[in-house]
Amino acid sequence: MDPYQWWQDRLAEEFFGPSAAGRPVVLYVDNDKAKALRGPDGPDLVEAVQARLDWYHRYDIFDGIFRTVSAWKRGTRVQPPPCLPLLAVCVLAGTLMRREGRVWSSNYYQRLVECLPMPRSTEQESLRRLRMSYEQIPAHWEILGGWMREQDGARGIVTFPDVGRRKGSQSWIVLALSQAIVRERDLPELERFFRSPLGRSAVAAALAELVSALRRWEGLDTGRLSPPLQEALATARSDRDEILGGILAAVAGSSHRPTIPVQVPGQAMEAGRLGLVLQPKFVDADWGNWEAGWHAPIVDGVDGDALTGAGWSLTVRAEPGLTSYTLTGDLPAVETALVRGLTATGTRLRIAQRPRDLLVAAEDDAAGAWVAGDAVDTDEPLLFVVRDDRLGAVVDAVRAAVGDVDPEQGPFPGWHVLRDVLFTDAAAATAVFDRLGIGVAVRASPRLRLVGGLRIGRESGEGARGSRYLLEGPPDVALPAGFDTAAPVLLNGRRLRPPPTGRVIRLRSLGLAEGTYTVQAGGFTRRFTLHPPQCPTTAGDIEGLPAGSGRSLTVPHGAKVYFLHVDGHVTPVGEPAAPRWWTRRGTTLRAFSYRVIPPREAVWLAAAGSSTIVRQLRDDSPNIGRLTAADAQAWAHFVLSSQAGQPHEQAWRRYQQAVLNHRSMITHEVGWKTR
Amino acid sequence: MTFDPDVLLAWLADRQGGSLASLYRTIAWYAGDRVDPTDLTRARRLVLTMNELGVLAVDWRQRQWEAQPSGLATLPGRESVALFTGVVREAQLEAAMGAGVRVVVHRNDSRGQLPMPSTWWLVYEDDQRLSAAAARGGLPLEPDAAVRRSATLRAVEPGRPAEPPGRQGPPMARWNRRTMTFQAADRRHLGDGLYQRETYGTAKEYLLCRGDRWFWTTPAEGRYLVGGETSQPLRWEFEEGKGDGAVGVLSVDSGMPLPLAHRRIAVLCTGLPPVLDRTPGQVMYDGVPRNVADRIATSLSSTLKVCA
Repeated sequence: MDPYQWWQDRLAEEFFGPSAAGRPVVLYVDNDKAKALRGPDGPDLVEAVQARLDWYHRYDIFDGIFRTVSAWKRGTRVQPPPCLPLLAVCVLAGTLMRREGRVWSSNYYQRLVECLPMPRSTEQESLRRLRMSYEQIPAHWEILGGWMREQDGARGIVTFPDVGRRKGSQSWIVLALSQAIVRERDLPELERFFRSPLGRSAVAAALAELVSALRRWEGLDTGRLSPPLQEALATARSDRDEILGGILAAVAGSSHRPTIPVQVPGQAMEAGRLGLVLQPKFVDADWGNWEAGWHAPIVDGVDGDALTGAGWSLTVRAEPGLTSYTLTGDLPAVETALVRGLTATGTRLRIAQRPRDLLVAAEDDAAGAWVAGDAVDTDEPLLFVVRDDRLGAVVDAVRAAVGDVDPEQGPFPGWHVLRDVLFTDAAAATAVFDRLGIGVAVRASPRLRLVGGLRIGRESGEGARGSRYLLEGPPDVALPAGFDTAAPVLLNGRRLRPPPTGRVIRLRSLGLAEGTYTVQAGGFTRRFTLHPPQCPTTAGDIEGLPAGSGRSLTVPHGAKVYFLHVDGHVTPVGEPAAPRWWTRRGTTLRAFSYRVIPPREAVWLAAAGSSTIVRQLRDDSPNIGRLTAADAQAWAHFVLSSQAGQPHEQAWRRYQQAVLNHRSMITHEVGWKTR
Repeated sequence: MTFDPDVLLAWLADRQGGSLASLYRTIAWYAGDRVDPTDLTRARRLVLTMNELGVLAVDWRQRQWEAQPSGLATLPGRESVALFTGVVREAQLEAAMGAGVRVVVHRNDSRGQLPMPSTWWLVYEDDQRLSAAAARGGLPLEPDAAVRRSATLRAVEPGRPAEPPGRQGPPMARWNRRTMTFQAADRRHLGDGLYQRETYGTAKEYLLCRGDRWFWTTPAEGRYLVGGETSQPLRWEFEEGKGDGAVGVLSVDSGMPLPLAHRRIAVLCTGLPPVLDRTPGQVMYDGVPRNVADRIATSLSSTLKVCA
């Protein structure tokens, strides 16, 4: 497929598909977004556009693209006009400017030239031709805006300014830049503003006044806004306020109020239906065997409803005392919903959710799971659930912000999770979320935390879940951001020494005993318990060395050891030297005994040391033959040794008598007696 | 408080298992006064070592770890010494003590890395004393563990079938038998051999190509399956003993590391981690019986050079 057409289809699907219905559409495309949309096999966006440019056209290098619009106009116009890749590159250039902190600078074109350089030409010539041709770009925005309005919001709501009001070359670029100012993550906060008394009156005022009212609104939590919008609101500038006001007016004046991710309970949305949000939730059931399900916060005023989607149904019921619905019915699989998106309609509620490839979930005690909602706090561990094609970018971004992370297998094939990602800085978290296009707000919520520690036991025993530690591994205490380190921090009522630097007090060096501990700092309290190592459960029956485990016998070091044969012949056993690795590796090993393997013909093993050891190897009567002096000398250690009470007592005595009666032995004994 | 690897062992025994990510972070925190807690490099290395020592088992695909049950295994050679295996707890060591036995500890050299868990041995007078000690400590006994386990080693084979790599995707590198390194490969021309493919971050996966069929493999098994041009991947040097009881040093070319099962058996001969001799690039395992070295070489379809 032609790369330009590939991108036209891809952008149409992403931004103007059915899930855009009723939502303000911001054609926000930066490098990360372009990479994500491209996927592993797609063509490059910039190259696709570059291939359609006619750099040698006298007036308009974009003419080739503009000429395809005529054919589109004559057609069914079901799909957006064929200018999406071109406009996306224009926005992309704007995002590159923003990164340099010169949003309103005229060198927008410089960035555009970097994206779209004229082949085999100078930068200056490229710039000249681009600037000259750029006056055609507003026409493309106008065509796109007109088409969106024709669709009556079914393919999204326009958020770029009205072209008719924009005059002069300086204003051409604001259309592209407008798409980089308001992001989707801003919509929940803007929705709150529009529903406030101040917001309701301001939408009827002039555009600049609407922006001014937003700045004045006491309920505004700027931490939940995207950085570009935060920046735009930080200082008043009439030209920029005019654009921003136009975008805000477009959002506020929409006949379709946003459904996702905005959740404003009690407000009518469409045909009297309220928006219900199904939030994916995840439970680590058994070390990495994730279970996925749904969590649905209660919509004010709606006790229950039955919703029907494509091939599935859902009944929600509000139970007393709970903040989320009880869900029954034939619910859609979470994986499928993430891939395809989710729409359903009931009598009072409506669901419309887009496909997602990246979720950020926080632990929700009420749900007993990680829940992917629309806002998270700093200083709380987060779970990233990522489709594999985005994993590299997500790992890089998170690693740069919080340090090393280790992806694990996720809840579905082709997905991974990053566990316990902790942001302590809301701005840093927002920057990461923004870069990754995560439509989740970050609230700065500094709190007293217990960090690290040798945490034991998953849920049982004394101490709340997750607050039990091994005796030798108590956690550190991390003080909240902004906490006055001179203020008292108490551990079971005893004041702790403040940290010399930083905000972390280490408890490991205090030699804490087993028990329950309470940490207090400011208005915060945290508890934990310390436990000694668990005693092992004694294995039932431990078998001895299995029969036949070896023919070896153990004999003590330092003893004289012999194998005795049926004919009285004796085989002395050499004592092994200590293995060389014992000394080479610096061990302190010193063995009591060593192992010997008896020859098959031996009848007895006998050892003479601090005590005498005699073991019968087989039952065979003595048949003493000729004994050498060495044999006789060895037997001399044992001929008087009693084995009374041993099973082999009789057999041993027969050997003793046979040897004693032997001539060579007598001779030897005489000699011994004489000596 | 200093980093005590045996406290970590007690924690592993208590925890029994969990995610690798949490394990890395816990180790990095516990070693906080030695390393930057956000740098998991040394924690990862320690986990690799504990995996090799048989203290824990790691499922790299699922990114999970599991503590290995404790036990007692008699060492090869003639001396009456048994090794405490798995995640042995202090209470078990204390319970095992008694008449006719002695517990000996060896603090393993960390060589600039995080300290490894200690090696614990039980020196015993005779088999009855050994059995009694094992019963007191609740420890299953495994006589001649290294020899027995080596007898069960199978010839290494390609893993389960894999999808052939496409023309596009993450970078791939092919194992060069001559240079003993992975070198960038052109996805349009992938022939027989061992391939390394980047997945994300630092993670890699290994594929074996035979004919037009592709298989999953591990980096170590894959190298033996395609072979290396090292002159002596495996060398055994006699030290003491006779016949089947002869023990010596098994040296392995560091470019051709043993697969995990083989490494564990070699470690089981002493309970000590191998020693890396950087100059000739050899990893050396002590106290390995000749017959164990033979079986390791046979299962890897490799030759064993024996030095008397």
